[in-house]
Amino acid sequence: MLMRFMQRLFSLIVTLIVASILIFCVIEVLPGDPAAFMLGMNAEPEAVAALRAQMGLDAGLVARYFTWIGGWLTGDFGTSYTYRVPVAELIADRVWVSLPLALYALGLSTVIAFPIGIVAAMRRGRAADYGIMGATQLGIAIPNFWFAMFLVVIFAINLRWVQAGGFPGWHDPVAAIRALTLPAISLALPQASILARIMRSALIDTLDEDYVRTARAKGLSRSGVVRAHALRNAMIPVLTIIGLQFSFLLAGAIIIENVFYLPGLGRLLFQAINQRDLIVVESTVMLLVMAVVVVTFLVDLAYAIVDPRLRR
Amino acid sequence: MSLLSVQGLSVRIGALDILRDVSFEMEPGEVLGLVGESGSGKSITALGIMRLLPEVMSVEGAILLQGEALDKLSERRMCARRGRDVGMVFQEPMTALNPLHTIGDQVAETVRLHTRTGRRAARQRAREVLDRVGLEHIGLARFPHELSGGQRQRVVIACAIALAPKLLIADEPTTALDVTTQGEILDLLRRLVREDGMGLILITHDLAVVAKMADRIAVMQLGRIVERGLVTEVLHRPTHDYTRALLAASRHQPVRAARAEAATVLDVRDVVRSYPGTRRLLGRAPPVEAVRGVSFSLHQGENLGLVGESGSGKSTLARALLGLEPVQGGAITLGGQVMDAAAPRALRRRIGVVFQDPFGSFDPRWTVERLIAEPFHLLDNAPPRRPAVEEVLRSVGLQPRDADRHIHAFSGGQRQRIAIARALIIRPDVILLDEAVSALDVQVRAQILDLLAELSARFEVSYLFISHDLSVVRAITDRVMVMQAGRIVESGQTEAVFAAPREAYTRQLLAATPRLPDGIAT
Amino acid sequence: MRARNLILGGTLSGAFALVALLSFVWTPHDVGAISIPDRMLRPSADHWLGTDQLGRDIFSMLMVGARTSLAVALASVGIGMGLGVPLGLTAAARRGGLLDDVIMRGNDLIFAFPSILIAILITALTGPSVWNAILAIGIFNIPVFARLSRGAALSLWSREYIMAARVAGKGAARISAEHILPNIANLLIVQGTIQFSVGILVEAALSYVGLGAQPPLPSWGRMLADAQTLISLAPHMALFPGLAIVLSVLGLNLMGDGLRDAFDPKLSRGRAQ
Repeated sequence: MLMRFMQRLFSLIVTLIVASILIFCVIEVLPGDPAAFMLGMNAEPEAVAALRAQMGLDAGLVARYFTWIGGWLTGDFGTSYTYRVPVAELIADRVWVSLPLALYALGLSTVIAFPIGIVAAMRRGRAADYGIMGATQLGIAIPNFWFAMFLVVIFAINLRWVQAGGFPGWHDPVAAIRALTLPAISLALPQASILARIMRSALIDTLDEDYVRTARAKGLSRSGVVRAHALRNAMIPVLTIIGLQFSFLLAGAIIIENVFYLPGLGRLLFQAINQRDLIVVESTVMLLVMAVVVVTFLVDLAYAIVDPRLRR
Repeated sequence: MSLLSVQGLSVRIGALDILRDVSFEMEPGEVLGLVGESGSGKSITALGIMRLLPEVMSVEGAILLQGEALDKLSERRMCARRGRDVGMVFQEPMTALNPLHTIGDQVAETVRLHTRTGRRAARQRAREVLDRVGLEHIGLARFPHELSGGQRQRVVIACAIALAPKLLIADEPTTALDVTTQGEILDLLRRLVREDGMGLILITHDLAVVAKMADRIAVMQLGRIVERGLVTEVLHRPTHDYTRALLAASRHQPVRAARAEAATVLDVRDVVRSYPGTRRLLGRAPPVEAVRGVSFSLHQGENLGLVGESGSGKSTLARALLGLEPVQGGAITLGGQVMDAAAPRALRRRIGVVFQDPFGSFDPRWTVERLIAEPFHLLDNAPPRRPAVEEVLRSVGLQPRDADRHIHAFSGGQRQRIAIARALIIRPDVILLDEAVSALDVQVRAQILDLLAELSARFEVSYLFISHDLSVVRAITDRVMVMQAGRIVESGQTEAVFAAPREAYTRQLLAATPRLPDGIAT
Repeated sequence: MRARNLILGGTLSGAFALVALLSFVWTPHDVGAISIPDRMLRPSADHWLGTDQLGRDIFSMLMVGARTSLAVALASVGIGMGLGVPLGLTAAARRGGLLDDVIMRGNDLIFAFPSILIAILITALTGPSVWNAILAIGIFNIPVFARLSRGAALSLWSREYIMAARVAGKGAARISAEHILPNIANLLIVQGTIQFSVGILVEAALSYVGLGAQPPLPSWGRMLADAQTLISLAPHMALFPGLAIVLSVLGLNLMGDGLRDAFDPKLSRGRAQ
């Protein structure tokens, strides 16, 4: 168990280091001089040089990389070129929109997917199964941002149940959750469809296992077997997908935030990239990658909770 | 009143009859051996009694357990019978237990399902049952993957007998186990049946197991019971042709010519094969030695047997002999040249192989012609492919036109013939037969053994015959070696070793192997 | 019964491919023809699916957009398969070795970058373009195919027929080409179909946020971006491009499911009561 934990932790750290080098290279090395970018095509060379010095760009590459990473470890991500405020502040504000949104959507998709996946598996080959499979097939095919547009038309514009967009902040939690509900639903729809299908096939696979027959021979009913034996075994592939989904949900959130004008990391990224505020892009991308890697790591640990064979 | 009465049990899928009018009676405390080859309907009969057949199968007939018609019960009432009145043990102990639950919980589950027993009392009961099946030293909190195959089968048995059912059905309960473990499990079953007065239906393909265990026997063929009666009577005076054929095949001994001492083709000296230990937090566990200093030689035209239980290192040794893996000590010489992982093709062509699994040994997408000719890769000047393949197909008793077909068109026995053809086509000095007949039904096995004996005489090829099955090794080899824990503990002329084993381990193996009683009609 | 998915999916996918090809030689209207007086017209006999905010014919734009979608998805599946499958086969052939480790860690690394982040990084480098979308989705596909082919190949490497090929003196590369690849081809085709549909969805999303196809190249995702602000006035502008995405993705997924069923003999197995 400890062995496995240490191995995973090691590979987590290596992945993060390599990812940070990659991002650093793309942002700071390849596209040329950020100072020249900021000041525009006709800037005076002296002005560019002065800005370079101010931004610390005249230091060597390696030194700059370590400055960046060192800053990361102390919570100092540098200063935004355009907003002139610390990047850490910018990101901190936005994280509290994007992260709750992704978690809300993940929770929704799990709550929807589990029961319908289980029903489909238990009624395999019957009408309910075909109905659920057809509906999930459709759910996967619907682009979430398109679905989101129609949710806005129906619930915000026509029914006026919620605001069409924007985010009131967490000082009013009820309003905040209301503002995140439509985005979360639109994010959750395709993910719930995928998860329901995985749940169904994982459960069907485990229902074909020998130990299910053993349990039936002990006198368990069909549904009893599902509760006592099959569900937990089916959780192993389902966990993998839930882990992957977090990454998809973060990516999806970046897009959905645009539909609902939510001030999250996605909006921040797009504004930054349009204004070539690359220092913001650099740290935001790094943060998102870190979130994905850490979730993968946690899922790995969760396997060991489900599966005693991994607890060595 | 009889314990169990099966009347006219028929099972079909669509228009296909799987089970036809199967009827038999059992008295309390009786052991019934249900025997037949694969596909004869033994397991279907068992699952039919348990009413656990797939829904696509339609079932007819009456099943009376102590006079109660199981076939008429609702599914809910039937659930209350399973595990309480009828218990069942399956073939594959490695997959029959839920990997995520402790063994204590799995045994206690049977108790809690059928009785109003609290968690603690059920665990107490589970402890008692596990003690009874010989797992006194195994804690309730252990998981299946921490146990050996034999121990897991004891847990499965414990689940089945926890409530002392009136009837126990054991479907090939020892087929997946080593011979010594098989002996222990059979002894355990016999003891439990005697102590509890249970009826036992023992399903097996092995007549020797029935001879050892059962009071009465029912022989199944193609979904019917073709012969039944007291074991002593049926085995000594079989009336049905099929029973006679089965008995003959079980004791079949191919005719082989005695041969003079010839030159050594394969020489193995002090071979050691070790694997690096598993990775730990810092460094590694010590290396695992699978083969520890094995020496032997194989002569031209000789049939040498290598017997051992799983984990004895015989398969590891086989891979080293084939030059697939390096050795860490000693040397393998084939025709005077050193055989190792870097051996040239010209040397590799001197050894061929036939594997156990007739289904996994062939690429399903290739034609038989391509499959058989694959070893031509080892030749610098391969002869024209088609004539060579047709000739070797004839040698193994198949038709030349079979070369155009794909492997799925062949039965298990035919596939093993094709595997032999593939080994034979480049005329190697040695053919390594790794459990080559273990997966076959007895009648097919007898035919393949005859074929092997004939080819050995005709082509002067030597066999290294690796098997866990002592009776097969006895039938076909001149000399035999017994392997245990990476070492060869005993070797000698086959008959001499079987008649008067010197080592305790060999004696143990022989004692555990069920044998048909002598003097029965064939 | 089981072939129903395959037939329905194949028909839908085939229809979209046909429409995309047809757009090279014929569209009902010129996709570039701006006509402000005809803007935001509802569907009619002349404009089957209406017009957009610049008076362009939506049906014609959808036809040309299908071309973009299919081309991006096809190219990115090509990148993913072309690089991922050899990597996966190599990792499986060297299972447990250093190369296997390096390849799989590399895969984990790419997996840590959702395709939208890759697209953002590439945009930071080169600015937005349709190539950006192809590359981002393609890179995202590499670990998908690498993992799939490694996993499938690993289970084959323990088969006895692979042992027999090794006994016949064949090396890892030859065995991978002769035995492994043909036997995992079915799986790859099914996954290819699925990734094709994922490609269409992601391309639409990237174009929607402005990281994919740029004007004047018509694309379903950008049509939706244009439609968003006008959705109350002209819902048809949002409806039809979305439906085009749904139907093409649905078609491909149904085809993938149908192919999987057709390839997989396990499905004919019965069910325990």
